[in-house]
Amino acid sequence: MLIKVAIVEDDARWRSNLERLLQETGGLECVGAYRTGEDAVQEFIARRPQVVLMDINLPGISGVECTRQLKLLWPEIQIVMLTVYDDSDRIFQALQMGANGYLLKRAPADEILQAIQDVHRGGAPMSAYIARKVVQSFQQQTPSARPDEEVLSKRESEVLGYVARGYSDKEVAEALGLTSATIRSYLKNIYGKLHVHSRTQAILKTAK
Amino acid sequence: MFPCKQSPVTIIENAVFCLKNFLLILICALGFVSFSMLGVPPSDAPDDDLSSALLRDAPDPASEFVIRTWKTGDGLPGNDVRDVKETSDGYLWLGTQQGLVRFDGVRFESFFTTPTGRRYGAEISPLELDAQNRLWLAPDQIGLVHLDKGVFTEVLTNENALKARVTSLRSDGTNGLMWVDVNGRLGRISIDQPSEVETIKGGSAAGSSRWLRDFAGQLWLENPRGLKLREKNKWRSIALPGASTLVATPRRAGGLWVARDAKLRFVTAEGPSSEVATFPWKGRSRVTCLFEDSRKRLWIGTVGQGLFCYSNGEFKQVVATASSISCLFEDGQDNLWAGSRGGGLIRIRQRQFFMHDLSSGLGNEFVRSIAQSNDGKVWLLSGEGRLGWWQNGSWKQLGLPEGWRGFDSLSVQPSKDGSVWISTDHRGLWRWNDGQFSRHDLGGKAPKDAPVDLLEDRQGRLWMVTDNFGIYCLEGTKLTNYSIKEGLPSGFIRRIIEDESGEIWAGDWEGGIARFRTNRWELLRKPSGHGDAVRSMVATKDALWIGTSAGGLLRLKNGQTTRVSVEEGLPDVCIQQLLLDGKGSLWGGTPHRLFRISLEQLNAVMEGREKKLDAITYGRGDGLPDVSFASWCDPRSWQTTEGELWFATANGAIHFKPENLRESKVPQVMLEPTLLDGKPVTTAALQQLRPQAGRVEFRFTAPCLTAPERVRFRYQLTGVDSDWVDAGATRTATYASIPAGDHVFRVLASSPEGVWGSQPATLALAVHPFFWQTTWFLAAVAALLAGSAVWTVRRTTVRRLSHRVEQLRQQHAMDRERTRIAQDIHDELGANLTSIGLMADMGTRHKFDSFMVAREMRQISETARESVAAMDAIVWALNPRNDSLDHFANYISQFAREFFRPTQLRTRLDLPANLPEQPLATETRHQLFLIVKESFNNIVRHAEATEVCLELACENGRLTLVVADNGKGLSNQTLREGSNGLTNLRERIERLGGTLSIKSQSGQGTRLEFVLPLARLKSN
Repeated sequence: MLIKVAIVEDDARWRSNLERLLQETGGLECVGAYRTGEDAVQEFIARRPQVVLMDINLPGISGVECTRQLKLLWPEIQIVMLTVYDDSDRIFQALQMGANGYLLKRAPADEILQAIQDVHRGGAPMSAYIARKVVQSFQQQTPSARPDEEVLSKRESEVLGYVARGYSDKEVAEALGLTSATIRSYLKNIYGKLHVHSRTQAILKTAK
Repeated sequence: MFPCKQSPVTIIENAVFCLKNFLLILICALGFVSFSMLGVPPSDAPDDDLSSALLRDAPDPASEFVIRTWKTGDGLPGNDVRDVKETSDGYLWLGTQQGLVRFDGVRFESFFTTPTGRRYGAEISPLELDAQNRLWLAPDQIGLVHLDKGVFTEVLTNENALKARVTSLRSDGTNGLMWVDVNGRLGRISIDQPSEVETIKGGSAAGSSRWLRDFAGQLWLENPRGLKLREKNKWRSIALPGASTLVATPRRAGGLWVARDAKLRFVTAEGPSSEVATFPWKGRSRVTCLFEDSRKRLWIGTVGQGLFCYSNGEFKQVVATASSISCLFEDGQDNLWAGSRGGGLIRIRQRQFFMHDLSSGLGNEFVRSIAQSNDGKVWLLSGEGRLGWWQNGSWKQLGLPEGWRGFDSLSVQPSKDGSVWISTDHRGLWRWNDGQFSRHDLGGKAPKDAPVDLLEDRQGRLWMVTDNFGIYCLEGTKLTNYSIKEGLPSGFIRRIIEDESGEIWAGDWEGGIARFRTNRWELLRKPSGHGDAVRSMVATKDALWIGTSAGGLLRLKNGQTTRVSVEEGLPDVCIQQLLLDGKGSLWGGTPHRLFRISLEQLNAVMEGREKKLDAITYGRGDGLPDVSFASWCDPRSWQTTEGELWFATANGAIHFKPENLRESKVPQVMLEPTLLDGKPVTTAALQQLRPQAGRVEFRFTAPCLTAPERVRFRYQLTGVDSDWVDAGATRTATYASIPAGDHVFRVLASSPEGVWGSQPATLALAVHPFFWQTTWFLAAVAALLAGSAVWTVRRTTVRRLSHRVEQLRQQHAMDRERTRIAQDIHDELGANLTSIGLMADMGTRHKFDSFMVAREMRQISETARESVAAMDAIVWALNPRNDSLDHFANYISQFAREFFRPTQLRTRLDLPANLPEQPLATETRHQLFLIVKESFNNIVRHAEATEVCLELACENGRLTLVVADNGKGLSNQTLREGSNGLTNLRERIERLGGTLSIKSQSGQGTRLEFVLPLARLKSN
């Protein structure tokens, strides 16, 4: 099965390079390449991509806002943020909006392709830095009565703790006596909860 | 859609082209960096300066009022506000315990002393406006002060004419001011001859008595125990039921409103009415003030219960937080202001925009489609199959109990027969009829794609637009598919509408427009490209209006297309939504805002009769939260039968009545004292500026009490700026050096809706020629004469210059410049460099005849990648946004990951999840980073370790940074005598004022512990 991939990127050269890279790689199909987030929202339905490579800096709505909108329309869509550099705050915002991972544009081509495959298989790569931000986010504001889906389980916190200390998936798996696949599914859950958590906080904020 | 395959040669050519571009940009950027070090150009302000202030204004989107509070944290000098008035120039004046305060909507300015330097006491109120709209105040221990055209005058003092403090001042509506003093004496002052103080006898007043003037101009005296009417220089007592202290206020329908014994009644010359209402609160509370606003609502300020609004026979508690309200005032723009004891200043506005979103029960805030059915229900369809309607102010979500199975649905459309059509994503066409949902059978030829836009026309035909397969039309049971063959511009139709005469119009993804003519489509506009993709369409009698994805707004009239875009004043190039209000205005939504333009003006600009559009935009000040208008399905906007406009956004549905929106006037722009090197300077001194006088900072404002954050400014200094400079919301313009000559500084302001004023405020200044210009001239002459002389002169000039640069540098402006440069380098250089990397990567995937080419491709790729990483570090160091301990921690953890990735070393991080809010000076931050980097380098080069540990702790006023490894450790000799690497590290940390301690044992790794007192972090 081909993985349907779409690109949202305003830089024409990057867009066409990525398009070509996807096209020349077996197992992937580039179903759309859009210059703006607005175009992506309008045109996505016709192409039905499964994975989206999303630039953070876009004219009009930002990649973060576009991620939010796409996730509201198609929660099952997988979004990988692409950024020129570590714009840590905005990467984290995008993850809160439901993005499934991020990549630096300077990553080698193989790494970009690998990330698409990983995300499609349900992987959710997390760096030590993001893990730290996740911990921070869950520590801030703890309303007493919160639904279960936005509280981290003991195991999830444990995994998060290891990742924040620089352990790779494999090392965490070894440390906890679990398989790497289990660790990856924990990480995926953590991302999911982060998304729910930030949405709940948004509601609380507007309702105040 | 895809470009053809490129050969390796084209890839290399591309890469070389890229590289050239890159060098060019690099040179420009470096040029700019060095240029910007010399002077601080006036910088445009980022809008997010205000964002934090705006966040406080978090309104409950459903409530009738938008309330905003200012307290000391927002710049208000004191939270005790006793009196509020507005002068005709637009300023709001507050009487507080910290003196007289002026407010322009953004900044509070305190006046502590009278013009003669006497300090205001704790009581500054009462404030009163006379019949000519001039401000009067009666401060404690001073007497009477008045303000005319920005000038204060002390009119009377307590020592002479007035014998005691005045506690009540009221204009008599003509040329007099009525007063009461603290001893209960009464009188009148003529505003033309204030020195003649007239006293009035027989009022039996107390110090707490107040004068009132009703709407008929009649004067009343409110005593704690009763009311007296002043008629033809005679008093008439009005008997009132009840015993407690009474509070009264003018009543628009005549006479006064009176609150006494928790009962509301009114009083006219004929006497008191029977009880109108009983106040709703339970327990003890007291009315402190009453006020009837221009919408005939009565406001009731209390002690202990906040603020109530009484209208249509109902009381509502509007403000509960500030428990004690001390005064109420309505300005000229429909804002009600309440001063409170301890709760600050409160503004109450009628909400104009209502939002239906997550907090009001919408399950998914991306609203896809909106339509009103014949029975008045407003149907909303949002993500994840959420469907429901809004009726009589309440929301009904549909689910399984109502027979709605929650299919992913796209478009909703009412039918003439009262039923409602709903299209779904591959789950068929559904119909709601008499409370029942049923699937509508379309036979075997059902649309191949999901219908994203439904339209039922007057003839009862149902038109369905699909993304890829053109248009379907259902007429009775007959389904017809229209595509290119039938004359459509393409199969990718995006919008369909019916105009007033029943004609059907369709627009496609490249701006192609066609009209339906019995069985065929007639092409009226050829597709012109993706930038003209049709996002929205509306039809007036003689024209079709088309919102496009990146080409602004098109008008199709008599077969001719005309375009307006941002150059003509359109708020955005992307027009996602359009709606006509039937009253001559076109409403639209862009990815970021809602706007309105008059059709008359649009036609005038389209036909070249006018140049600019006055697009009115709406935002937070109007109670409209930030929304993004998205485009996918249709219909997304609707005018209801009640005249309300509804818009679907990606943040919820907004609705409002256009006739409720009042345009604010363009505020009056005013100059505030100009600063020279941070100190105020007189206008006379500005006429004689010395050369190199210093940094000139022009300050200006435009009082606006409704939506001050959205007032925009533009300015120009003649002889420096060739055109107007957009200042955004910033209220200063800074010039590091102004060239010799005569200049005029001009500044204009816009209304919050974006309409620019025509009268600039101006200020003239003159600068004498620069002394050092002649020095340079001399230096140039000297250069011709003797080489060595050049060297000396140059050296001193450069020194002097760099010294001056230091003086001129203003940290704030500089920071903004740095942010911008950092951004530019990233956006421009970063994109190109990463492109080179990727292209080279792709190149290596080809088969090459020569392995040399393949190897060089790989090297290009690696070099590009390394350059990006290096650039990243530079930009990180440059960007002042990173000047905090938290950013530093994040960055080094990222850096560690990338640094050790190519090696076999495991990385362990021990950074606290929450670091204290600790600013970190740029230079310190950079030095600490270099320390980390150098330590890492040492480990990779010498340690033979398998694990690296990076720790950061911030405790007991000290920052501790530890870099440890488990390698071979340092030899005793190195420990004793040090090595180059260690000496470097020690020098670096000592220069910052910190210390380094080393723990190491042969074979058991090395631990470097850097300790820095927190006090040293903020400065270099």
